[in-house]
Amino acid sequence: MEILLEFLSTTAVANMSGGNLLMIFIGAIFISLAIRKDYEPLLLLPIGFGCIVGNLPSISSMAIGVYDKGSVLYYIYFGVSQGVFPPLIFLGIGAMTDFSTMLSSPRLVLLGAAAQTGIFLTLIGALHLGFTPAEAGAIGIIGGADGPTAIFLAAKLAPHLLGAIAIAAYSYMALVPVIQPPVMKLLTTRKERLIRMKPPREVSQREKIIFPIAAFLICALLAPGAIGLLGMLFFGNLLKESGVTERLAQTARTSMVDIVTILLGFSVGCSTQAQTFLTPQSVLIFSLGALSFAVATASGVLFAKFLNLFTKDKINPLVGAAGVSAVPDSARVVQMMGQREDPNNYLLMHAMAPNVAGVIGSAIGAGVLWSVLVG
Amino acid sequence: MNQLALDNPLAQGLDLAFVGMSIVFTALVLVSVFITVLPRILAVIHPYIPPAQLHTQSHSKENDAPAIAAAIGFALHARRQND
Repeated sequence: MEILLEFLSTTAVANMSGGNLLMIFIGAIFISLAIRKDYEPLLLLPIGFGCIVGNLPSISSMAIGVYDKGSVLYYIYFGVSQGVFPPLIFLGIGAMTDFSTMLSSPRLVLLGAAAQTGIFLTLIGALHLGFTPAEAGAIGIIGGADGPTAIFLAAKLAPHLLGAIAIAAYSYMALVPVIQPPVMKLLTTRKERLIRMKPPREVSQREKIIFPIAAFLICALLAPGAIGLLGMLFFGNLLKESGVTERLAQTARTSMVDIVTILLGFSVGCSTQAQTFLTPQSVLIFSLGALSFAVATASGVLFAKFLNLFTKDKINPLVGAAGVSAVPDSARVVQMMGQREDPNNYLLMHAMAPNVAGVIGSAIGAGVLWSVLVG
Repeated sequence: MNQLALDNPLAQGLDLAFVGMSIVFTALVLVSVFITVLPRILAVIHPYIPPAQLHTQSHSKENDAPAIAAAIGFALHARRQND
């Protein structure tokens, strides 16, 4: 009987707190959003289930959770905490990204830069709210709308906020179709939303091969902190475009990226233990994250309007919203918004240019913040 | 070198925001300029290094592999038949 009672005291039921229950409920919501609404299912489903797993309490003498040295989850989470997974995800993204639209419309690259304003304005907001500079930098990167980049920088600058930042980044990426449209509509007139853009020119294979090498050199020379992310992104793209390593590119964009996504999503979910996640700081991080997404969207749209003051071939300002990365969701939102006004206006290809430029821009932003704020 | 940990982090945050945005813009402007001039550079070097030369070589290795395997297989099969 004594053994039974002792065993019962070690069960999750006996140790469950209200916070754990709340996090399990949030995990269930994530799973529900992934399945019912199709919001970033590849990420929200593993994160959601990870939330449930991570919030089942265990006794302290057993190494089970992601923070318990020696547990299986600890070793899986190692890829997150040490920033191993994000560059691998970037390798896969590079191997699946076609930079053609960007190569055919160089001016749209600038929209990807403008949207990174969200990162730096959020950093200032976080500093104002009392976060340390390193924490503020890690929170600011949520505005880059790039989950792997957010995890990478948070792991380097503020590991104790990693769970909240990762969940905020991925949640808002999933909510791009909800957050962006009101901002886009507010900042554009119907006439602007009806603008049709010239079809992109055809890009030669040779340009596609030279681009990843040259772009990497340009970016890495200016922001060496981004070498890990951008090196893998452009390496993956070179595998794709070289034409001689199709097998490697295929592996990078399918099996490898899938495996890493599973491990990353699940272990990030597991890291959201109520005791470390449910804090006032997390609430602030979520608020700042939402703000940074809105600011980034607005910056992209406004910069497109600014460019229109000087160019003959007008840019549909909606395309600027795709500068926030979140590939390809924000480009899809641009397409959807454009077609609401004119069903025959196809903006998706144009939006992909600032979209992939945004990925590069947010990685550069992360590199700069890491270089300056690392303790 | 946690520079912002010194004094008045808010003011220095503004500096960092300005510097950070400048670097992001500079990098992407340079990428944009490179993309713009790349077709012109390629047009200049085209007579010296024709693009087809690069690709037929690289593609042929991969594309010919099944054909070569089939030819070897056929030759082996034919030889066994004759034996």
